[in-house]
Amino acid sequence: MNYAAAIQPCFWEPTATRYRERMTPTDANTAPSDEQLMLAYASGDVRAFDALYARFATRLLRYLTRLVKRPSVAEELFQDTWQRAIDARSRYRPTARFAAWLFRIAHHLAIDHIRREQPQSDDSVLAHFPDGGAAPLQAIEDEAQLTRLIDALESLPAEQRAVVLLRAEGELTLEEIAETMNTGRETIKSRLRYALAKLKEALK
Amino acid sequence: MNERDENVLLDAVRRAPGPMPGAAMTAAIRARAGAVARRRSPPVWLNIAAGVVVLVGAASWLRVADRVPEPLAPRASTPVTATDGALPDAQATAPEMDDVPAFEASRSAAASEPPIEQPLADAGPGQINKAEARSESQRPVVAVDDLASARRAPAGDADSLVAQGLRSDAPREAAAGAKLEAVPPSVSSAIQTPALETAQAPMSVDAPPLTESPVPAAPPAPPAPPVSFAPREPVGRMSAAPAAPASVSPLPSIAAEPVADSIAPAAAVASSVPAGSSTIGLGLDEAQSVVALERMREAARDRTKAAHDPRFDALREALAAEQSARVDALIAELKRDVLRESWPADLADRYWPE
Repeated sequence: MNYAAAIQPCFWEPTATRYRERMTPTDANTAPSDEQLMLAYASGDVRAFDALYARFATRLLRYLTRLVKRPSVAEELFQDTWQRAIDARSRYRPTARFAAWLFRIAHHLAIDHIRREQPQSDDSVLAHFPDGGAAPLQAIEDEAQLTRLIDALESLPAEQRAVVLLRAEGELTLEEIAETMNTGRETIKSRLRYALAKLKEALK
Repeated sequence: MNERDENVLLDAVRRAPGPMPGAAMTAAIRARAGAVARRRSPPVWLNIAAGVVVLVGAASWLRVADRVPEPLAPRASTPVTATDGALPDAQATAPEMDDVPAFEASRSAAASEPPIEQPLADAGPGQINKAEARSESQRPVVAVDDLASARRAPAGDADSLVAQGLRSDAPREAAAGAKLEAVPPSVSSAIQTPALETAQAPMSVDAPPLTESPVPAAPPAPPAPPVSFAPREPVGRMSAAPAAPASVSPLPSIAAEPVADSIAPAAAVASSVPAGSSTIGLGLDEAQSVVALERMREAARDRTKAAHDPRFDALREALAAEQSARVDALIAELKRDVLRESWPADLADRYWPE
């Protein structure tokens, strides 16, 4: 379905740029981008929101569940995240990817919860850098291995865990993760490397 | 860690079994999103534009309100006519409207009477004094303001008072044989119907020689023409009307003080009357002076209104903007419509030097 064709122009479009973006004709086989869907929803198209929800609901919930490690809390944060996205629909500007924008909201909510629960940050524990072994990893197909992997992931410090999950579930770039976590790219890079090394070591 | 291992691990994290959003939670979120989308809030710029419109409208309204002149006070110089206030009712309800033929006869008789001045000239000083005193007490000349207030009085009151005066005083005055002094046209027209009652006496409700409006022969009286206080005949032309003072005798009870007030400003006018003139003439002069005074007041109000003519503001604006064509047009228009005395001093000195 060419969703872009269903987007109705809004007379109160504040900028011509947004109007052109929304009215850019798309190929019938090309699905509208996440940014286009969000702009369409901001214009009042509820179907655009449904499409966005279908794309990101599972990934967002898994991210929150594995980050806070409590399903009930994760669901609350999940609803709060979508509510904030709905409230901010009129202020959304496609200057960043929609995924980065959405996961940034979720991350801030989750980190605030974690800091309330665990005030002490354990991000500085990098004394023992796991070696991880030199042998390349084989594709992980075994369910047991996946379970071990998830357990190891949840044992990581919150900051490292967040980096891994934003990279895996949010599919964010290092720059986007750095902007989300309000840190430098190199810090994010080191955190990611450290976390993956520990995960690799846990799969041995 | 090489990039390949990183990808393997990340992919494994993605494929790992995990929670899924429940149907209830999904439905709730979608419903909330739909409700909010249907309830569109106006954009900020629209709210700002609405605020600007409100401010501009309020400022314009205040500016217009400042320029609207205050309503003029009700003019007291409006002469009493047959169509005014209570008096038509008096005409309608007065039972004295039956003597039309008698009234006509009296009118013709009054018309043939010698001038009022003549009887007083024939009379001695005592009689003159009596006449003067009687005229003072029974002066039908009331301040025009008071006539207006009398008109505002309930119809019944005016009717009863006038009727009483006619019935009670007419015989006495007729017996005295005194000649009434001139009744101001306004009063005469006001009491025109009640005067019919005393038609048997040689009455002259003929103060009307001074006016264009003769007393109507029968009610309902036709509307009287505008009253003119300018005497068309010598002052003494008015014929005595015994019933006239009788007809207005009740009025002094209403207008005693106002009569005095009306006399005061008229004193200046009366003082200019040559010695030896009749008191009847003095009454006319007083009436004229009252009217003249009202005209002066009216002229003063007009001057005040003219001074606030918005065209003067427009002229100042044109001068500031150096619009010579518009300035010339406004000056010509103002010179045509507004007296020099009403011009603001700055503009008058500049564009209308004496």
